[in-house]
Amino acid sequence: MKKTIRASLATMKLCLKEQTYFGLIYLVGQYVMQAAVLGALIMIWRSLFMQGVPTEGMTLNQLYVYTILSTALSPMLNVRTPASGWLHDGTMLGLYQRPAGVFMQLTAHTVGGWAMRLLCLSVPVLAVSLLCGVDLHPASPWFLVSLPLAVLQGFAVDYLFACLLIRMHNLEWCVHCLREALTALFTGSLIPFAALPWGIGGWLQLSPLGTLAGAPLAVYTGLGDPTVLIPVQILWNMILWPLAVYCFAASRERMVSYGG
Amino acid sequence: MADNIRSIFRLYRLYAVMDLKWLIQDWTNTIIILVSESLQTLSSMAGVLLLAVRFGGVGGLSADEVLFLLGFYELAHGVAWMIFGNYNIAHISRRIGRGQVDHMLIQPRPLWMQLLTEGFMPFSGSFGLILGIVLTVTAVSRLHIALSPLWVLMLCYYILIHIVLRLAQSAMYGSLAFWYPVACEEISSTILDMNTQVARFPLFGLPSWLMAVFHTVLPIGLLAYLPALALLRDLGIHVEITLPFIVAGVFVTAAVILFQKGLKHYEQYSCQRYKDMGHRC
Repeated sequence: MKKTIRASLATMKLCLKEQTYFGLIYLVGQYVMQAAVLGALIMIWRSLFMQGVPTEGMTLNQLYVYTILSTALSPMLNVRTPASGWLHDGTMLGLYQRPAGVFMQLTAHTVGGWAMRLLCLSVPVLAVSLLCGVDLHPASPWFLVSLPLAVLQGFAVDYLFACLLIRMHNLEWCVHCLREALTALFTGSLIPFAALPWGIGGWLQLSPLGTLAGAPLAVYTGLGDPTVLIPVQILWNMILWPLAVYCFAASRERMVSYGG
Repeated sequence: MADNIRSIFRLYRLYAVMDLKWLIQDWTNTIIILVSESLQTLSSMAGVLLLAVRFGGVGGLSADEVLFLLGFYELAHGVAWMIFGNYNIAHISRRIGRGQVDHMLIQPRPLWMQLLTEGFMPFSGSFGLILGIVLTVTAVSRLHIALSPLWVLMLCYYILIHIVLRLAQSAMYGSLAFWYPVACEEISSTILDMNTQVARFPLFGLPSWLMAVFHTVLPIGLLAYLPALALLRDLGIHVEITLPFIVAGVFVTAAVILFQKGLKHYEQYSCQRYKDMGHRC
């Protein structure tokens, strides 16, 4: 156990260092762009409220916090392990030659990659938000339970997408499109489910994708009921994890990589 | 001149045939690509549309007007993607940063001609365009817009502005990859992604300084919002015609200057990213 933890930490450290390989311009550039998109979205919410539309209980601060946290915690709310890319370029096959579990290695790589983003984007964004007068207090302490459950479920969903990629003979672009399509709307990462019409948000927030970003953000901002959302998150984890482990094991013999 | 034009059309035909052959080599893959790309396009615009439906309009536009804005965006983006989407022509920093300009410089065709034709994919790249046409026609019919030759001409003008602004931004920022190939390999994608994320939103009600930024130095508003407004309402000739033309002109000039400077640098130093064994680092 001790050895596994030490190996995981070493992998995380390597992955954190890897983030700097592309240089400062790349690192800063992408974070500045994401901060700019966040700023634009916040301004759009503001303009919506300035029109005086009936928002049925939603406050401007709730929408601000939802959008800010969605950007600040983005890698945790929409977990992307390197599995899909590594399947395509062949790196995945190398993981089987190391004295550690494949899931463990992928997880350590992913978590290690979060650190730089949290430091360079999330912390400054939260600090600026506080300075601008946004009230970042959580509406419920259950957020601390909901977020880890969402992260855990996110890994399971990512491994299932990796299995889909193996089944689709490495059609990476198609799986990417499919995933982008599903995550753009159905995870609630961009627009809160409470802001969707015809009550569809109520159904989406209970779906396996809706509980990824939508659940912890709704619990934090008070737009969702933790007594409903957290049991649903636990249920999806109990369904998706065994499914991901089974599918990954069953897909192992089908892995084909281009390499190089 | 006539030779160049003939060559351009010959190359378009060549790339169209190659694209068709790639698409029909495996019908299962074709259907998967069609479904996944269409789903992605629909899903990315659904959020804004659903917001408009929920709040009875957003950003000063009614739900049908938002549909028109989204339809115009998909239409213009679809045309740009169909003509320049293949082989990373629209994401030129990848070609530059990966040292692939070498491949272009040894071709028996001028660089500008390759950039103009190589991205053409009229079959595999047309799904977004078809969706854009359907959405625009639906919105036009719901809004009872009286179509006139001038209106259609304006629509074409804004599509052209959209294409020019996307490519000019990509080339302008992407030229940095001549000097910083590793750090800036993905800069065109980052810029275009940001454009895509924000351009679909109606921008009415934003602070005036931000509106000024979005219509000049970061011309996201000129990609869909201002064109949609101009096609729906009368904004005056300076805003409708002159502003997009001047901004597009400035971006094209900056892109050409930077690209040429970068190319000179590349001709001297090339791209030092490859090891002897062929791996890129």
